[in-house]
Amino acid sequence: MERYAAGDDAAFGELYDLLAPRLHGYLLRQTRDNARAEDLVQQTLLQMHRARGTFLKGAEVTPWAFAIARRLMIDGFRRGKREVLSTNDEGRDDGGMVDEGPSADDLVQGHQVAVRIAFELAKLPENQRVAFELIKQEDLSLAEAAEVLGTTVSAVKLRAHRAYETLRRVLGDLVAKDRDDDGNEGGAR
Amino acid sequence: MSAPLPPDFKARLLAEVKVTPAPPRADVARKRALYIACGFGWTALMALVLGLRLGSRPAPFVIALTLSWAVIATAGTTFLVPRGPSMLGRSRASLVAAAVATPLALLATLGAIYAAWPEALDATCAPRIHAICFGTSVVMALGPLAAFALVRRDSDPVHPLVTALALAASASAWASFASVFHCPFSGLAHLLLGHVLPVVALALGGAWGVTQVVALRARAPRRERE
Repeated sequence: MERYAAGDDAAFGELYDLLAPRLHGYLLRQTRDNARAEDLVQQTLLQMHRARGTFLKGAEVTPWAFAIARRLMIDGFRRGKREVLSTNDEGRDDGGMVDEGPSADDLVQGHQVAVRIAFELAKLPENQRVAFELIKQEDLSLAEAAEVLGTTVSAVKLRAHRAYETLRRVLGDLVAKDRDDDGNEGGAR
Repeated sequence: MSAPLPPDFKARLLAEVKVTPAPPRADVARKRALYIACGFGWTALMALVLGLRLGSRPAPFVIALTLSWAVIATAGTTFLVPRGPSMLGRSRASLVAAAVATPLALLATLGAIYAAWPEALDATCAPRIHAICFGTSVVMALGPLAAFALVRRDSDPVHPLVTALALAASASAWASFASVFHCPFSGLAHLLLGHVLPVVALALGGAWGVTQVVALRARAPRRERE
């Protein structure tokens, strides 16, 4: 971003490669609407492009990008332009999303686990869910997640921990079943 | 849940980027300097028009008050207007603390100055003078407030309301400083109601308007607008 802000137009491609897939994954998990997630990725990167002249030397790009994406998503939901997803959408069309997996059994089992985790995640309070997702799924550091959410590191840590504890409690049967099936330590991932 | 972006997505986005204007750093810096100059110019112009009136105030009292409030306004602006080291601005806690600290610091220095010139404490004036100075301070603050808001336009995706509150407090501290020159009244009630209260009022009242400017907003891509 520093190179792009300094006038190197070609650096935007690298910025895209670095951020777009992560932003898309995050936004897809949040919106569960592929078209919406793509729109938001585009808006986020365009916003970063428009603000290239304001970029601070040495500033972190990732938290900024995620914060912009999150803000645009929230604004979009507030404006009600798109339908907000429900927490119970197991049977809905995924809008062209592609599942990756080698075998049918793995695919089915993995899908069931993913659906269950997504379902339980969606039931968490929003502040806990978002903190958990930013840290565990988007690999943001605690400090970066705190910046994105406009709060302190300790608050993010606490929210993510609470989310983790809740998930561990409610998904305990899944882990136990997995252990029974496999006879090893494979858990819900 | 995963889905790759479409293969042509990057090409479409790069095409969009090519036609979307993005001012370079030098232009941004120039524009910001212009905003700041205009904002402070407004306040300075008002101070010039209203002129310097000492009244019954001792000159050292006026100098001490002016200098100390200038220091507070400068410190507030230096801390609150730039984003700090992060693109997401300063933390919510530090912005709130600075916004609250601004009128408190004005009050504290006022107390210290009254301790040195206790005779200034007793000066009285009609209640309408409080209202006039209150109004003048608010109008004087509008220039810096607009400038700070424009400098931070479309920049805050995390806590725009708190940023706006801090910017408004910082702008009105400048108005308090500038209004010391023309107001010849030094009584405690007058300085509180006419010169410190506007900082609080403008911070609270102006925050909503400034929020609309500093908050990051979604803008439709160029081809959707056309």
